[in-house]
Amino acid sequence: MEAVLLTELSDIEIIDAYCNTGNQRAATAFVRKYQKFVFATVLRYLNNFDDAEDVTQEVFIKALNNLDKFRKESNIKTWLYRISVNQSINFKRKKSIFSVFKRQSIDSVREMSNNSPNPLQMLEGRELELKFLSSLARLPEKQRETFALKYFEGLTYDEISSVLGTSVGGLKANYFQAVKKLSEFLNKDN
Amino acid sequence: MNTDHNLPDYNKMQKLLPDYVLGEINAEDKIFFENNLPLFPDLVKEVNDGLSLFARIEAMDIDGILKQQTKNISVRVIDGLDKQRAKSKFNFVSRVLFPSVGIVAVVIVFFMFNVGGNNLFNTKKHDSTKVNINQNSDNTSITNNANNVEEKVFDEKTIEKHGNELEKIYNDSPELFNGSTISPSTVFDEIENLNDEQFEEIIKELKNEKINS
Repeated sequence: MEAVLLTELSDIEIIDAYCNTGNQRAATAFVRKYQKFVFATVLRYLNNFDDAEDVTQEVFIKALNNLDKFRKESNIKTWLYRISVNQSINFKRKKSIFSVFKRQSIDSVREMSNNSPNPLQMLEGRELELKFLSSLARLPEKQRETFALKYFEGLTYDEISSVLGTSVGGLKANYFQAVKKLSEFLNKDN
Repeated sequence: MNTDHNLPDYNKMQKLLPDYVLGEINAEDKIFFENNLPLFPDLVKEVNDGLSLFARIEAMDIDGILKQQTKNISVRVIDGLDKQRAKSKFNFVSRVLFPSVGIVAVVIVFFMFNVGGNNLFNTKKHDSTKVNINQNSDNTSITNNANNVEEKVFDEKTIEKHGNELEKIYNDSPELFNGSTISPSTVFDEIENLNDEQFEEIIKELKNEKINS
């Protein structure tokens, strides 16, 4: 109940509540407020629902542990975005190192997934959405991220520029290119 | 319908196209763009593709997928934080506390065996396992643990001083030691068990021998 009320507080109020008291409810409110943003970001980098869940958890643990270092004048979304991208890249790196060992256990993973509902089965009836997400994943990173941050997250070009390191003019071009390519991909697949 | 791409308006239209599709065009440019758009079929197609993409995305329930996938995240994060805290306590004990206690113990043991100039690694002159050394102001008191009786014997400086004296006599007159049970080596072996008077006796004896001879 209190957590629900806490989500209605401003970012700074939630951060202060967590930093001053270590309050679990404040942590929950913080996570609930940004979980979709972080999960979507991580998912775009990893293209795997299970991995994205694990990494999202890691992102929030890291963010909460460092919340006192967050400069309140900056945007919490761009701060979380940077952590999400770094954690995703680290995860990919680790995964590629251990992929040699994992290949040996593919059969056992298949058996497990036959017995338990996998995330894609849970998303049955959402073919359009999944097709769109896979089209988005086919875009070059800068175009994909510009599109997602602008269209889904509503960040300004200046904010996107600060995290992607591209000029505002370049971002506009990226955005439009992304729109064109996504239209092509979706039309082709139909 | 004008499809001549060399017209100056086409370039302007191309520049305005992204802003129009992305909804970032100002009112004046919007009127200009919409009035001229029917003249350029290729641009019409691009505009329609772009606008239809946004309409399709609007119809999708991307938010529903994200909601479904993140419903347990907050619980997992809180669990993760709790586990991390428990782990960091264990890490403090295993990485800081145990090694610190170990180092302190080693230092204590090291000093216990090294007080008063006695050294574990230098057992030639002194058998430090035999005696506990209490350093007094005059540096000459050694307590013998085995008998639990205090007896005065020499400290390192005194032994060195008398040893040098004995060695000098031996070097000056080696013949004095011929057939004698006393030699620098035997005296060194016994020197820890001698007291001042006994040692002075030996020196006197040797000096007398030297004078007599």
